[in-house]
Amino acid sequence: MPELVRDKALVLRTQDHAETDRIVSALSEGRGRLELLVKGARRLERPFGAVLDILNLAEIIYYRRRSGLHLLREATLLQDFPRIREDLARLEAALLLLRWAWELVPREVPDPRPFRLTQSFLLALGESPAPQTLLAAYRLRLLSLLGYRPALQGCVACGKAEDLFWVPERGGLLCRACGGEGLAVPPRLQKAMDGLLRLPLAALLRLRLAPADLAEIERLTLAFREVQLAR
Amino acid sequence: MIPALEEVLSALARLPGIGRRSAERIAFFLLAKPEETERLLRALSVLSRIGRCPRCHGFSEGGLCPICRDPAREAKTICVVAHPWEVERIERTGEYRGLYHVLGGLISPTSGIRAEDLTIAHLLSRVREEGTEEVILALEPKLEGDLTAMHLLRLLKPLGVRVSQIAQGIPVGRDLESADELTLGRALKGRIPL
Repeated sequence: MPELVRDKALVLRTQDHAETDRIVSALSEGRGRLELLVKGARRLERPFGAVLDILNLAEIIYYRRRSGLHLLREATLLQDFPRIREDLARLEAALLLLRWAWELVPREVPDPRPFRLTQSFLLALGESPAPQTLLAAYRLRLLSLLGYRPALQGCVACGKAEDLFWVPERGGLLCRACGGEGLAVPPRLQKAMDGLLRLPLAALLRLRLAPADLAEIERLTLAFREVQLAR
Repeated sequence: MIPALEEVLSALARLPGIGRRSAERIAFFLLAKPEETERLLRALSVLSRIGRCPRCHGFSEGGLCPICRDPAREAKTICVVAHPWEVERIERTGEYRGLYHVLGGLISPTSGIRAEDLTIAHLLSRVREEGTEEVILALEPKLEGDLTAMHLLRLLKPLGVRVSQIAQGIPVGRDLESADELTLGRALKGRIPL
């Protein structure tokens, strides 16, 4: 008999399955990323209605199977983040954030931190006048939480804080004297990234970064993720 | 089972709604009725002739689709849908006499579908060039549909065109008791004066 589990989960994405079913990928508090089979989800008389739309936070009860997909039995809406849904920039940022969670958070790992990080950032996004800044911070923090924290305090080899370059293979910043080359990271950008990683959420909401700096931070973060996760 | 029949069954069973048992029923029916097999083969051979209308991106058998060719349609109104098969669903209501525009999907950052992957630029040029007065958004009432609608609204408003959205809420014939709070909430938000 499969175990019946109660948990909280954020819906990350959905995928049609067979004729009337749907597979829901969700970030749960108790067991990381879950893949849940929802029988009859595409019928007119569908169970759970719109509760399982992307970006919703729901209380779920599911049959936990040893292999394959878990079977969803109940879902109750807890939060649908209306302040995000009414603003295009917030919504785009939220969906990119969920995409990162879907791509990076491992399946079935009992660690509540990715869920809590994601939930807190979604709540903050609803208040944020600068959603792209929060998205940049979320990316760096999710990487850190999963064990890929970039070294942003100074050169990873000698600790020097000047003439720095982005060297993902070495875990972050490397100065020229220690062999750093390629993507230069000016002090302004270093400070901004360090702030994104360490500032409390309330301070992040007040942080304003130039669009060019945000674009550069995104480039550096993506390069870091690509190299670190390929290992 | 003989290999030829197995091949037929596995091809049929790949179709939506057709399981192994249904595939067997269809295959044995076709084997017993060669004239039906001929009819089906002729119909299937026509599929390759079906392409996309260069104006609305709906299904077409070469050149403009019948709706875009029809001079009796209200040419100042465009109904925007995500997929070409949704055109037929709306046509069957008999409530709409305008033109269509098929986006080819919905914006979905979670699935990597960007606005540039859809026919949005063509929609904007149609609105400018065809003197469109109203654009009706008939997109799925889910997050990607909302995101696409917001994106389109931002682009269409400066063109001075009226933008509306089909109503969302409780399906006709359903009771309120079975509606979830999100659906009921949308129905209340979209209420109309009587």
